[in-house]
Amino acid sequence: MRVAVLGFGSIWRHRLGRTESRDRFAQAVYYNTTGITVNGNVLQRPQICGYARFDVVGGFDPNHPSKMIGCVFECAEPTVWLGSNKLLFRRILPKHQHPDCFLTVARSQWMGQLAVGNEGWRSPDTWLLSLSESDGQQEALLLMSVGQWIRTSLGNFVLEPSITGHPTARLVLHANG
Amino acid sequence: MSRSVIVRALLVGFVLAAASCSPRTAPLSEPLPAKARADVAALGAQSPYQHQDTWYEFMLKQFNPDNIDYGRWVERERCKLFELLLNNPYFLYSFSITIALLLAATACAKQWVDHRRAMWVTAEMMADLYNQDAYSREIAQEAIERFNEHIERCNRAIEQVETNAGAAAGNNEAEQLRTELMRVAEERDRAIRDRDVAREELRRKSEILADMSVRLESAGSKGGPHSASQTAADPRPADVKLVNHINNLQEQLYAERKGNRRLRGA
Repeated sequence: MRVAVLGFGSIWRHRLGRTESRDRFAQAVYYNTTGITVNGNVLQRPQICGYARFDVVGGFDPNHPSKMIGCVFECAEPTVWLGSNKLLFRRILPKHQHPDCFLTVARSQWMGQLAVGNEGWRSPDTWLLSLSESDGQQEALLLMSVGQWIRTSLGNFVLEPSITGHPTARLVLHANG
Repeated sequence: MSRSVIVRALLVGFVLAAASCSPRTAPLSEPLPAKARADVAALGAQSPYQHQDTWYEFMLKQFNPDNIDYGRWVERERCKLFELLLNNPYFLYSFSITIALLLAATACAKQWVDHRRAMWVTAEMMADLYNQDAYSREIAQEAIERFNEHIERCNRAIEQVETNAGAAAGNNEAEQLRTELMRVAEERDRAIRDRDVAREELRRKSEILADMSVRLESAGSKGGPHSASQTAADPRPADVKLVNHINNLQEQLYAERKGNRRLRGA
C-alpha cells in the first residue's frame, strides 16, 4: 500500500535502536499520534488510540518532518496491536509515485467538530487511525482515499486531488447535504 | 740665580731695542765704501774731540765688527728670491705638484684610516657572529643529545613492552584458540542434537500431516466440492475487514462513552 502524507499529528515519540553503537540513531523509530493542547501543553488525551510508525532506515528524516509532507511511503496494511491502531510506514518511495491513500489530519479548530461515532460521519472506507479530544478540541488522524469524505459541524470535507498535478490531495469543504 | 738671569736678559733686550731704534745705526746697513770711510776718518781727525763709542755700540761691534746691515741684506735676498720664484715656471709647477701630492697623500691617509676603522668594525661584527654561531651550535648539540637520549629511552621502553606483550600475546592467543575450539565443539554437539530433534519432529509432523490428509480427503468426499474452495480463501481481505470492524467498534465505543458522559452530566 502506498500512502502519501498530508499531515502529522501533534505528538511525536521516538525509540532509539537497541544497539549501543552509533547505529542506534540510524535504527531509531518515530511514532506519530494525535494530541490536544491543554494549558499550553500538548497532551495525548486519546479517545481512539493509534499511531503511525516511521523508521529512519526507511528514509524518514526526523530533523525535517515538514519535508516528509507530500512524500509517498510504502506502508503495511493497517493493523490493531495491543488495542491500538497501527500503521507502519516502511520506506519512502521515489517521487511522482501515485499513492493509494493519504494520511490526513483533521483538527476541530480548522474543520469543525467531528461527529465521530454518529451514523455517516465519514465515508465507509475511511480509516480513523487516532483520535484525541479534550475540552471541545479534537484532532484525528485519518487514512483516506481520493473522493472519500468526513462530516464535521462545518460541512463535508472531501479529499480531492490537487489541481497542480502533484501526487497530493487536500480536504475541500462542501456544503452539508 | 734665575732672577739675575732674567735681569740680564731684559738688559740685553733693551740694548738691542735701543740699538735698532738709534738713528746712527740706520745708515750702517752695509759696509761703507773706502772713500766714505776715508772721509769719516778725515772728519774725525779734523774734529778737536775724539768721538768715543757708547758702551752698547762697543758691545754691538763685538758681534758685528764689520758693521754689516743684515736687515737690508735679508731684504735684498728676499726680493731676489721672490723675483726668482715668481719668474721661474718650474717653481709654480713644482709647487702645484707638491700641493697636489700633499692633498693626495692626505686623501690616501684618510682613506686608509677609514678603511682601517671599517675593518675594525667588521672584525668586531664577525667576532660577534662567530661567538653567536658557536653558542648556537653548542645549544643545538645539547638539545640533540637530550633528544637522542629521550628517543633511546623511548625505544628501550617500547622494546620492553613489545617483549612482554609478545609473550603475553602468545599465551593469550593459545588460550583463545583453546576456548574457541571448545566453543565450536559445543556448538557442533548442540547442532547435532538440534538436527536429531528436528528430524524426529519432522518425521512426527509428516505422520500427522499424512493422517490429516487422509481425514481431509475423506471429509471432502463426504461434503462435496464447495467446502474446499471456501477453506482456501485468502485471509488478507478478512484482516482488512476485521480492522475496519474494529475501527467501527472503536468509534461506537467512543460515541457510547460520550453519550454516557453526557448522561452523567445531565
